[in-house]
Amino acid sequence: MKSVTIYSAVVVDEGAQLSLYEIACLCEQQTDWVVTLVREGLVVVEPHLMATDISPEQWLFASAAAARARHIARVQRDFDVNLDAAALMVDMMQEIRFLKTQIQR
Amino acid sequence: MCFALFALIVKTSSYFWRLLASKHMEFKDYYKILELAPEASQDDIRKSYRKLARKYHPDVSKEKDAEVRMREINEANDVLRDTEKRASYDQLRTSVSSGGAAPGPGWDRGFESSGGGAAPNDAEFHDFFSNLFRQSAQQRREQGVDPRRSGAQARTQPEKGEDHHADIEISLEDSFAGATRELSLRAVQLDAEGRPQLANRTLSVKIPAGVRAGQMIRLAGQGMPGGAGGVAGDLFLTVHFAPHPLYHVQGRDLSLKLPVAPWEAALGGKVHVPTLQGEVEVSIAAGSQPGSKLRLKGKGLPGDPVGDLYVVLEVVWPPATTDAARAAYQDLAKAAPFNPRRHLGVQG
Repeated sequence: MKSVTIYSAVVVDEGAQLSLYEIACLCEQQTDWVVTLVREGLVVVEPHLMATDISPEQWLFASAAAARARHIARVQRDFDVNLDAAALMVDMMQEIRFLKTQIQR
Repeated sequence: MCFALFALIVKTSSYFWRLLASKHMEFKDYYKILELAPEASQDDIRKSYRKLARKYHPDVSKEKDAEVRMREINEANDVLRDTEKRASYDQLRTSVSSGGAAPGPGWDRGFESSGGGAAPNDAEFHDFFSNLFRQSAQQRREQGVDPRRSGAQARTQPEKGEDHHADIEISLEDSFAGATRELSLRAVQLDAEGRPQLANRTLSVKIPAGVRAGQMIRLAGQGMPGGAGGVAGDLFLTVHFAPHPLYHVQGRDLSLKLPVAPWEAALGGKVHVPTLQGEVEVSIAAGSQPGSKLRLKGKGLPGDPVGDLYVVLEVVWPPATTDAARAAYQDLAKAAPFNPRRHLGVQG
């Protein structure tokens, strides 16, 4: 009988949050870029880790933060715009998506 | 279901030429894709890219093939915006236009050749090409530009392999009960001689119950192998729900449009409602209106807190296609006269 290895997946938001380095890798950006996103309030760190005495290396990110950071990175690259414009575009795209969902309900 | 994962590989463009020759892949005209003449300036390329990105970006485009077009546009832009890549591409393009589908003799001088093989499909190749040229995080690390460091530092100690990301579509039922799903991943791996090769692998993945759309799940150690004896990276999968014929999802809550007969809405009664846990009986209050919403606590997706199921009533009228049905409607009109347009200020 052929044996199959089954790999268990863990939900990122349930104790397997992403580190600063991991989120930077997934966005194909430097960690400094992610730190800027957080400092500018464009992406949020898990609330209990946002104290001023906690260094960015200790930050942890939830799925939603990772998805948003990836989206901002993609829009910034694809449209060749600065960070503020990319974040604004992502906000507007999310709003449009939300409204479309409401219409379909 | 098949999910493609394209690993980022860490070789120079010479590999591209070798692969192109060996695989007899279809040549793509990047100038045509960007709607440009071959002598276009960098400024022309930038302008055209921006124009086309606005038109075809999947986030904003209404075009059906937006995703494919945007991938091609990005790929063309990646190559033509880089002077070195553009020069190599132009050389290849000239060879193709003068000699057919294969690059001309001597184009690969100094590069190792490889044997033939079945050509991968077009999409596969072009993602492969795009990734081939893209400077991956791993490549940057090897060149001393580690995302963990701002400055350039050579790699001297074991490092965790690169993390990868892919998307996975599951059904609501999979999320509700958990499931084991097979993923087909396509990655670039180095062969025994250190040359990159496309390799398929299949993973059986246990999807955790209660996972929501938009969440990421982590498969430890399923990314790229580590460097200098370091541990492998992780594979992150972003979860998407396949459209469900009955339920609409918002977070852990579900909603369902429930058709009811006029007499059920007017008189109240018990009706059966499908849930992910099976059919349940629900009481409808007398005098319910279309759009009335009932909450079935705890009948949504699992989690902490568990989601609810919202049932939205839709009154469906039986057609008056028989004499008896017509008579019944006439009796109803006499028995319960009302003007549904009273609020519009009209008489009848």
